[in-house]
Amino acid sequence: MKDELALEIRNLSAGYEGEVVIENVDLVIRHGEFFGLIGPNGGGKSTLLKTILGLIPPYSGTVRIYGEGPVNGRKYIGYVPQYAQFDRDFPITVKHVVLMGRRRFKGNRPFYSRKDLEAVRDSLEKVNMLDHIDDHIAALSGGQKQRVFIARALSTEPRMMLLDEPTASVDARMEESIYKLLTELNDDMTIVLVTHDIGIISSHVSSLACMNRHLFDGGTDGSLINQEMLEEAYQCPVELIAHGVPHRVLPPHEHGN
Amino acid sequence: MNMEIDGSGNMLNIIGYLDVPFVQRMLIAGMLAALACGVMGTLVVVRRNVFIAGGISHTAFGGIGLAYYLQGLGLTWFDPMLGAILSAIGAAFLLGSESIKKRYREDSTIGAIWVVGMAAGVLLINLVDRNKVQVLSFEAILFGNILLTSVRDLMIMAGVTGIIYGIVIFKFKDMEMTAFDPEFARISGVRVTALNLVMLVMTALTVVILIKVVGVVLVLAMLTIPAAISNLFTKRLSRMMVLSTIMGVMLTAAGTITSIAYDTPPGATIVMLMGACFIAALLGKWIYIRARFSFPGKA
Repeated sequence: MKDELALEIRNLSAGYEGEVVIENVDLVIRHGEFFGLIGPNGGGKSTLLKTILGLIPPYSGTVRIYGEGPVNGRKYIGYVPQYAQFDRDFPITVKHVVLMGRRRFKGNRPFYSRKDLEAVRDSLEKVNMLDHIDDHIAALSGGQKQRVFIARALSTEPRMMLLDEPTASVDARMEESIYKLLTELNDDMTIVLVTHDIGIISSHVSSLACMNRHLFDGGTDGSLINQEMLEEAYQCPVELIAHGVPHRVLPPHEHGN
Repeated sequence: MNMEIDGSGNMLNIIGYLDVPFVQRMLIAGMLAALACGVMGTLVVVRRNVFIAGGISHTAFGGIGLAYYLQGLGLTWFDPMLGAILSAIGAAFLLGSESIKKRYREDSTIGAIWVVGMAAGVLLINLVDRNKVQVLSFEAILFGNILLTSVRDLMIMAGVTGIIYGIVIFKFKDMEMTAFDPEFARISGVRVTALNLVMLVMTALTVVILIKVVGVVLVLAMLTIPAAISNLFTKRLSRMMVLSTIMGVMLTAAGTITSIAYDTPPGATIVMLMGACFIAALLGKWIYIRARFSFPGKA
C-alpha cells in the first residue's frame, strides 16, 4: 500500500474556453504522503484541482487516481472546497452537510440510511464537532465550518484528502489545530493541500511543489525547492522564511553555490 | 363586481359565500397554488433564482398572447394555458443553458427575455381579432383573475402540483445538495446539469399555474415572499418548504376572503398581505435578536 501511487499526473494541460491555464504538468504523489501544493493566485491551482476531480476535461495528458481515471477514481478522494463560497442564509444543519458525503453510497435512493447517519456521527467525532451536529452551518466559526467540511470529506471514506485553501480566513490558533488534525488523518490516508499562502507550509508537509502554469516539483521534504524556483513560480522575490521563528517555511538551502 | 356579493365588507357573510361554486373554485385554486409555491418557492429562493422565475413568468405572458393570436387565426384549441406552458418551458431551457450562461451575463439574458416576452404579449394581444376571440384584459393577465378559474383549470393545477411533489420527494436530498454545493454534488454522482434543468422546468410549470391565481406580475411575490419569511425562522430546507407552504395557504386564503368581503382585486390583496407579513417577520426577527443578544447594563 505504501508504494502505491495515490496520484499520477502525466504531461497534463488544461484550462477553460480554449485558454491554457496549466501546461505540461507532471506530478506523482505516493500513498501516505502529506503533499503541499503552493502557488500564487491565478497560477492554475484550482484548474489542476478541477481536472483531478474530473470537473473539466484535460486538453492533453492523463490523470490517474489510485490507477483510475478522474471520473472513476474520484471516489477515492475526500474533497474539501473553500467554504467561503457558501450562502450564509442557506437553511441547513451540520448533520445534513456531512450527509452529502454519503451521496455516493446512497445512490439514487431518496433517503439516507441509519448506517449513513452513523458514518456522519463518526466523521464529526473525528474532527471533534459532534456536539454541533444540529447547529445551523452559518452559526459556526470559520474554523468550525472548516472542520465540518473536513468531516463531510471523511464521510466519503476516502483514501486521499484533497483540501483547497483549508486555512484561508481562519485564525492562527485554528490553523494550527487544523494542521494537527490533518497530521492525525495522515496516519492512514494521503493528504494533498493546496494554498496560495506559502507562510502556512510548515513542518507538517512531507513533500512540496510550486504551481504557476507549470509545476515545479520540490521533491520529498521540499529540499529541491529553492529561491529561484519559488521566484519563477511567483514571478516576484520571495522570502523563504515567513512569520517569525517557529514557522520556518522550508528547510535551509544553499545560497549561491 | 358581482350580483351575489355586495362587497360591503361584512365578514359574517363569508360563510354563506362558501356555498357559491366560483368562491369554492377560487379558494381551491388558491390552495393549490400555495401548495406548489411553498415547495418551488423555497427552491427558487435558496437557489437565488427569483429573477429567473420573473423572466419565465413574463415570457409566459408572451405565450398567452401567442395563444390568443393563434385562436384568432382559427386554431381554437390553442388554449392560453398551453401557450403559457410552452413559452415558460422554452424560457426555462434558454435560461438554464450552460453555454448561454458561460457566454453572456446571466442578468442581461434574463432582462432581455423578460421584456421581449412582455412586448410580444402586448403586441400579439393587440393584433387579435376581437370579433372572433374573447380576450382577457391586460389587468386580468398581469394581476390575475382567480374568479375565472374553471373546473378544468383546477384539474390541471392539481395534476401539476402532484407531479412537482412527487419529483421533490424523490429528489429532495439531491436538490438540497445541488443548491448548496453543486461542485460537490457533481463529484458525488448527482447529474447536476439535468437536475438544474428539471428544477427550472418545475419552476416554469409552477409559474404557469400561479398566473391563473395572481397573474404574471404577482407570481414573483407568491414564489418569493412565503419562502423568504420561512427562511428567517428555520435551519432546515425541508422545514422551510413545509413552513412556506403553510404560510402560503394561510395568506392566500386570508387574501382571497378579504378580497371577496371588501370587493378588492384578489391577486393584489393576497400580495399586499404577504408583503405586510414579510415586513412584520423581519421586524420580529430583528427585535428577537436584539433582545437575545443585548445585555442589560452594557451600552
